[in-house]
Amino acid sequence: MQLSKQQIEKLRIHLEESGFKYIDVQMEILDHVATAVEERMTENQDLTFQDAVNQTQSSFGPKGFRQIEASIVKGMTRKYRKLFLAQLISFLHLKYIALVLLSCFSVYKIQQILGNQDKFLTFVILSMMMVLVGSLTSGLNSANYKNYMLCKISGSYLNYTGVFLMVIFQSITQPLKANLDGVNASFLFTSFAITLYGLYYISAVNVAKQGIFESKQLLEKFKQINHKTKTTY
Amino acid sequence: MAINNELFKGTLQTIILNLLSENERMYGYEITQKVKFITQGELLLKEGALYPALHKLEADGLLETSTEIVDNRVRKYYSLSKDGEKKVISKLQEAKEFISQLQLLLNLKPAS
Repeated sequence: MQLSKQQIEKLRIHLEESGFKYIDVQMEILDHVATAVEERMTENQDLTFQDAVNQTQSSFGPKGFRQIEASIVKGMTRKYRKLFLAQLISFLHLKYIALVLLSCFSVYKIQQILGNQDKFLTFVILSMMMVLVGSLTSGLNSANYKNYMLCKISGSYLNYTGVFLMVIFQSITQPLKANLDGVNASFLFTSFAITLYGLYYISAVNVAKQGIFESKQLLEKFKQINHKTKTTY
Repeated sequence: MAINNELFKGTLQTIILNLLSENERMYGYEITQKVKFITQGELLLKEGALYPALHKLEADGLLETSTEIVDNRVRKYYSLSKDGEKKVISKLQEAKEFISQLQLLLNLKPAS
């Protein structure tokens, strides 16, 4: 027996009211439960929709659908962590290592040329603002996908960029007073911190974009269903 | 006699990989029903065991997923990735060796 659009929507609302607010998490649980309900109703023609739902829900045990949600979240976290680390490690490949070292050297040189901490701080702030604007205008805007766990987890690495920024600003405003064989230790530390921040940021952005891309693909699917029903995803 | 599900937890990933190598692509509920059908109801693969295993295999890059609209809902299908295709061979070999060692250890005769 195939469930009607209204019954599917009822199930979806039931999941939403039970606290499963992320669309992609809802999706997997919904299909499993709907298929199980359909089978129960096929096996027992006298069974009502609500009874079939209740029986299916109780067959999941005391943890209910939460265990599916937990495994989805764990799986996504693991997947994006692997992707993030792979991105970060890729910068150690021979083709990138020269570029990374050159970036670090360039930051050091810029500090030497500007000479003044305030000027360099202004330069860093302006550069970061430009990077932020660039990121937002190149597909990093996740506002449309806030109801997707994929987007939330993949974008979580961007939350930690603040730690790097704190270290960078600290190193510029409170420079080290050491000199290593003619090399300014403070400039060197700041150069490393900024380069590391850059690598982290690029990796985090790429992972976030992947999450947005996957969320967008799902959203398209839901729009097709939405076209026929009045559900808002 | 129903088999203790604890016994097959360790081979769950192998079971899923093998099912997918034989069926190209499957969705979660379908896997639970396939296990039930093959074992004539002796083994019941619970959702609480299936989904963590599926998502771990996916995160490890052994499974690929695709979504499709089926009966007014979005269905997620799992299939073997290239790495998964290679892994299923070694996993099956590993399981065979383990079973033969168990037969020796427990002094069991293979079922005819």
